[in-house]
Amino acid sequence: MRNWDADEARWSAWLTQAQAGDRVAYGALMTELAAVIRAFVLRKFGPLEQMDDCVQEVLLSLHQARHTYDPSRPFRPWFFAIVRHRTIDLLRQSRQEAEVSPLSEEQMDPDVPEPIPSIDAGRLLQGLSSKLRETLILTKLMGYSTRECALRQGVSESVVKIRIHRGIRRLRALSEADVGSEPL
Amino acid sequence: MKPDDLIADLQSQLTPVRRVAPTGRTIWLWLLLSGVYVALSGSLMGPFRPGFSEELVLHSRFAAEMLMGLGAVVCFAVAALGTSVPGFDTRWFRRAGWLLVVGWLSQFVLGLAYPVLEPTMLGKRDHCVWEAYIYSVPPLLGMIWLQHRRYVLRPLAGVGYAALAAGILPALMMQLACMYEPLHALQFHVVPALLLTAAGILVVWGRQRLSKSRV
Repeated sequence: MRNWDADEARWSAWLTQAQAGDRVAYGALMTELAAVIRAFVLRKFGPLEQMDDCVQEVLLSLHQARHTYDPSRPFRPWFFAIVRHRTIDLLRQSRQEAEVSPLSEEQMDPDVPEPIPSIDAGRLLQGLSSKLRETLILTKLMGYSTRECALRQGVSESVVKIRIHRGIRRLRALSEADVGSEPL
Repeated sequence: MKPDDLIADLQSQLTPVRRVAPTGRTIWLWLLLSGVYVALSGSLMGPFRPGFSEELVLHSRFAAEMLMGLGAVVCFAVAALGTSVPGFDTRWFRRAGWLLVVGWLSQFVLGLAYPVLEPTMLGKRDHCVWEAYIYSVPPLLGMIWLQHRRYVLRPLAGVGYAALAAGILPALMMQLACMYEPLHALQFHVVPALLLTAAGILVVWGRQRLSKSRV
């Protein structure tokens, strides 16, 4: 059983220290909050396929919004407002991605011959969201560093790293789904 | 990348941040500056309707109408800035804002049959509709700037409330500065506020769609 009052006081103090640049307090806060986010998402939305992505997106949002926390106000409403909004955003986004995926069985024509692997990779890339696709093309095909890619996309390096990770994972899932749907 | 790696990454990039100013104080500052700006711009463009201060004192329905409009501006300003402060509960301000704005608008509709004041051409301004648009833009941009210095959670709602607050301010000023006639007020003072709100929401919605498809 959590002691929310103690958590509240500790998290508020840590975030106040983190606002002043204290890295130790910040690390401790984010590590504890990551577990709370995971538990919250699990309880509210069930076991999500992209749980790690969700936790990371929320952690990033907390990082970006840390200057908006006012120590004279309670911590939990601030924290859970960000968790709720980012999780719903992410779920909405992944639903949209699923809707535009070109790999659904209905869209496959059995008479068309199997594409050669390089074209297939391009086709798989089309199954990603534009953000993930652009990040992968810039970093993995055009040879941009994460820093250059971050500058070009106007996001932080951490966001680029997350997008690469998510993009590769999604490509792998799309590729496996593709192999699974091949006729024997 | 695992969450632990991300935390280590963010930790290594951590820099001190300047906390944003308290929300309440920022809202009052915005209201004060926007109110002064609208009143000053209005008076620079032409004189206010003669006798408006007596009308406010002598006609309680007119004073109530103005107070309802002013109350709506305050509530919508709180709701607008609140959308960019995580955990800031704006529920009651939103509800009160809508109630007040409905009350305020109903006075104009009721005024078509039972005018609050005797309709008059006194104080007529030739370009009041354009003034209403132009005066509302700087307060709107100011509020959007304040929102983006925070962390915008609900961009559409944020710009909608900001446009309502910024649009009603010049409409209120015109009630004192321009001729009094309910239909004229609805068409040339109130409609700009509503169109500004619709335009603001449309622009943000379009930007969201564009950025989703681009990056």
